[in-house]
Amino acid sequence: MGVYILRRLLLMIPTLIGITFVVFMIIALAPGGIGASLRVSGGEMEANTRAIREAYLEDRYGLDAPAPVQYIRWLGRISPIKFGTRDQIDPTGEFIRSPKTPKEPPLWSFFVEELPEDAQPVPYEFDLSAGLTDAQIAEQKSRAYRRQSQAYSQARAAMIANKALLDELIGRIADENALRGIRDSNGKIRYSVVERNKDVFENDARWEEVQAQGNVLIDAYAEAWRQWGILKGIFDAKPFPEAGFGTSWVSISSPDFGRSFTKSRPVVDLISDAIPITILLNLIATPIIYFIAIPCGMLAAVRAGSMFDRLSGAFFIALWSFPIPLAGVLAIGYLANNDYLGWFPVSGLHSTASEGYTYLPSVNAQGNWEPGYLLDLIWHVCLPVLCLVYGGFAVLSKQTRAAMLDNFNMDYVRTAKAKGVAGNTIVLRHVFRNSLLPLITMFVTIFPAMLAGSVVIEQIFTVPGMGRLTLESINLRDRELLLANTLMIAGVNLIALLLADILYALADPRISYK
Amino acid sequence: MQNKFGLKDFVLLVLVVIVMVLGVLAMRQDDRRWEQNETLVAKIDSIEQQLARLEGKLESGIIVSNGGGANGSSSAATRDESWVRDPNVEVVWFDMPGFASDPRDDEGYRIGGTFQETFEAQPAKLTPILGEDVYGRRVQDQVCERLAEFDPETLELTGWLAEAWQYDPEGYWVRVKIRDIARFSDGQPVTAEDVRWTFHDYINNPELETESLRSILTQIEKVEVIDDKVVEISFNEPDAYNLQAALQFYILPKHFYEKFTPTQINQATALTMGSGPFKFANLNPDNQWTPGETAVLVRNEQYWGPKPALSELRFNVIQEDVPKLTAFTNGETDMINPSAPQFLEMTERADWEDRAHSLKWLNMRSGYLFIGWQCGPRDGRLTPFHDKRVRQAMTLNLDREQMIRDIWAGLDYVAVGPNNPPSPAANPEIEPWPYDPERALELLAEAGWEDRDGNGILENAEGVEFEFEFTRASGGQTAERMQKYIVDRCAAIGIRCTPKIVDWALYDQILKNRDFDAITLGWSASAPESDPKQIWHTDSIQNQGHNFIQWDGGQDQYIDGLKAELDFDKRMKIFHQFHSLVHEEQPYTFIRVVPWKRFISKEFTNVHPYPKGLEQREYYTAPMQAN
Repeated sequence: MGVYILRRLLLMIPTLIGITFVVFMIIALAPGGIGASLRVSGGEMEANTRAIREAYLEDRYGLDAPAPVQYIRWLGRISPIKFGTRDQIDPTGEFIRSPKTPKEPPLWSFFVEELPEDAQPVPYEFDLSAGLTDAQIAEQKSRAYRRQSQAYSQARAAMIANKALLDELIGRIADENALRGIRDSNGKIRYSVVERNKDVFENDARWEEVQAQGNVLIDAYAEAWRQWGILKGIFDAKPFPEAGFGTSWVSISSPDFGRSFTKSRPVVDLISDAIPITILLNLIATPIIYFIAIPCGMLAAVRAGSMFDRLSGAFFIALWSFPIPLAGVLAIGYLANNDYLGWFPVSGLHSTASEGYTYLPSVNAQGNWEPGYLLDLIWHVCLPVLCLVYGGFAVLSKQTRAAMLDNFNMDYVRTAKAKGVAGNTIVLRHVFRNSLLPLITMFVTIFPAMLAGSVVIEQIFTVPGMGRLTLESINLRDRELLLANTLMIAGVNLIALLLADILYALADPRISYK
Repeated sequence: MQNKFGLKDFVLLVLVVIVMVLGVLAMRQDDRRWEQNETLVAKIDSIEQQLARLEGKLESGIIVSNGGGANGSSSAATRDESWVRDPNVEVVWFDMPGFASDPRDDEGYRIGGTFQETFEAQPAKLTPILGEDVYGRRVQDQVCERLAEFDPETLELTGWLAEAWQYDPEGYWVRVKIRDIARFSDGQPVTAEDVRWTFHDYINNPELETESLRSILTQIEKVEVIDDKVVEISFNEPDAYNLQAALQFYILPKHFYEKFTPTQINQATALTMGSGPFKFANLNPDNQWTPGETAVLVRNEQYWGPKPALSELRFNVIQEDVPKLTAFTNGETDMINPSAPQFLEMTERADWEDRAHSLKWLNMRSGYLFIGWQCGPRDGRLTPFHDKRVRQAMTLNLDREQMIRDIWAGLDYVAVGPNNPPSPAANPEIEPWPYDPERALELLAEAGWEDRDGNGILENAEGVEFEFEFTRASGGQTAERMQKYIVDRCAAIGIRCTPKIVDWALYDQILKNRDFDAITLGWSASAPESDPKQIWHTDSIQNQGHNFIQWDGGQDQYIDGLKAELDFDKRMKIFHQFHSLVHEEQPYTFIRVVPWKRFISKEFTNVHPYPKGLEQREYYTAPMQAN
């Protein structure tokens, strides 16, 4: 058994990589590709400056690399085993990576014989006077690093801006000379085409302008390298404690899920905001489904063919086939609208007054009864929970009923009856226990769905849960968020499947994984 | 099977669980009390501070400003102009900012009340300049202030944090004097250093994610501190839009933001502090507002300007239409943006008048919807629309009033040009083209398009049939209805129109590659006048600019003239000429201007729609008439 579980766990790693890779590539290959939301700016008037802004963002988030490279980089970041220079962690908990080197400027052979040499890290020593406390030392180190980090960002930004200007110039000349195929599908200049048609540019009246801009770019590149050298030197002097443990070649540290570039917040924060809400809804909904559906299923099995059996079956199936969006809108329109019943609030998780409430119900200073924060919350989730619940009865009660009926026809039931065991005991102790098997499996498959959230219900009731987060990450083509969500949902699914298999073995002695 | 789990064990177990749950709940209860205590203590702290300052003022014998009356400004005689750069250049002075319609003398005016506004989409963050969506900006506008604001009624640029400025007639610099009494919500004064810091170390800090504003403000060369309250902003080159740009970014408190690392600011969701009438009660970076929660602003008790009556502003999000309206009728929210059918349906109800202010008006942010005709070549071939007469005919052939009535519930206005009607830049003399298919056919015939073989389709002299592709973005019922209407109208006069429906992500590529015959799109506006260069100049035809229709009809003289003209009235004259040209040439068929629609609860009084938008700071609660 242990070996089996270990093997399954190890197999999960390639499976997860496969799943995330496929999902990522599907999104990346869709029109616009990763980061499309940053580029699409319909209705936005400033167009020229957009190129520069786009270049900035692409540089910041590495969106200009090909999709598979982006995926592999992500994999490297989340992998707990890391190779190469170790990251450092600053006091606010942020990962500080070894600074990125400046990118080689395009078309440099047009302007100079050879590129300026790559700078080497400038060895750096913190200038610390004696008698400082540890906190002051950390503060000074961090300040030295930050100052240089800003200087390097500035140099890099200058390089990006100058590259955008060069691109614009080249684009203009190419357009005027009707040069075809100069741009790829995202509107970026294809430098290989430019190089092949160098004569077009050389013969253009603005060749000197191009030369001048190119030289500025090369200078900016050299400056960026210089600043990089200084920054790298400071980084190597370790201004912050290193992350995880290990050597400078291989180390183990916690995975870094990165930052969502459409919301510019850490992915972990976004998920940890959304997940408690989704879990809360499902923690209320799932027991309700079980407590209603299983007894009904049992009763229907015991009295198979009776009026109750037929009516409950028909009723649950009717509920199951009722579309959730319609139910949600009807619930809001009638149950929440003060013009009709107005029993429940329409949206949100708390009412305005709830901030002044204590956690539990209480009597306030004026002697009035206050429902308290907890009850207020439960009152607010009533309608979403209702919509989550009603469709779930049918499947579970039918499953219970079928499993029970199967068992009723078994020999051991006949034997028990024959030896005079009471009817209730047979139903509860013998038949029900043996019918639990499919129910366990069902619970295990419901569990991942609980974390993934329900898109429709969350949308209608404006519940900021996981379903909406995942949907947004797809719509906005947000790489980090999408991959982290996929990884989480896939991981939970795989674990749930493993759990189901283990539970099978535990519940049914006929199954073993030897 | 001897150790049976009996009923007694079960009851015991349940009891234990209940005790544990109660324990946890009691702990939560205590935590909450503690948190509420903390907020109270913070509030008392801020009140004490304010008291101390007031006392200091009283002791030193300074006349306490009345905080925002129209008479609060210093008279012309006492104005100190020693700070100016060039004594020969006119200095523009501004009175103490007030209310557009002052509620304070109204009968029944009272302080207090909570105003809850509902957004249709979730702002990602509320930190100033980093959170750049419309909704984020609406919250920030209540918390942060700029050197100058547009006057709500006249839309003129008026000094707000700035008491006066001197603008170089050549257009190379502007020197700004900040009001002495302006202070941030923590009581610290707004200084010239804050302005410099905001521009150079916040907006232009490459480590902060302020790219979108940074890339727009490239015309500002530097911001220099002249003295504590005087700052000079210099420009790279003169441009009519410089002044607006220089005075229209939020001024942030240096002393507050300096405490945080760039990463902390980048990741903050609501690290928002400014000098505005409202403030965030909670500015702890570890425990801020997060998307999904209701954003709560409280009145800035130390506000230097006209103090609002409302004590709290709240912002929540409801995305779907039905819940949004239900929340409003239930009184769970005080302001929503209803859909067009909802607006019509509710305003027809008999008792609606007593329940809500139903506002529908055009303002400086109203955008317009248009069809752009491909005036240049597509794939090296000219489309029929390169001829101005054809474009005019296309406009004449569309009954835009009927479209608005049938497709958009009749609430919108026919658009006439590139600037929306409330803007001074719109030429008031221009009437929209009429609906006249006869005249359209005549114009088409003039341009050489006639039904020569009698098959019902127009041909040109070479016998090529008139057909074109109409590109629109996928999604939306109204867009589909509009497309059907256009196809119908084209068929009616013998033009074959093929709709092409594409995804948004692809739309951008189509625009960049100019790969369309006719396309529909909307432009939004954010200021009373915006530089038409990006959209209309022939420079923007090249290099994937936004003149994707490749229109070249002599517009450049006006657009270049606009940029060079620093005088407002003369500039407006050029704008009007430009507007006439666009109207005559019809590179776009302007379809509709979309007014803002709002329902605001009748619980609030002094609600006025302005060309600038809404001014929540003027509202106050009045007892409901009915009920």
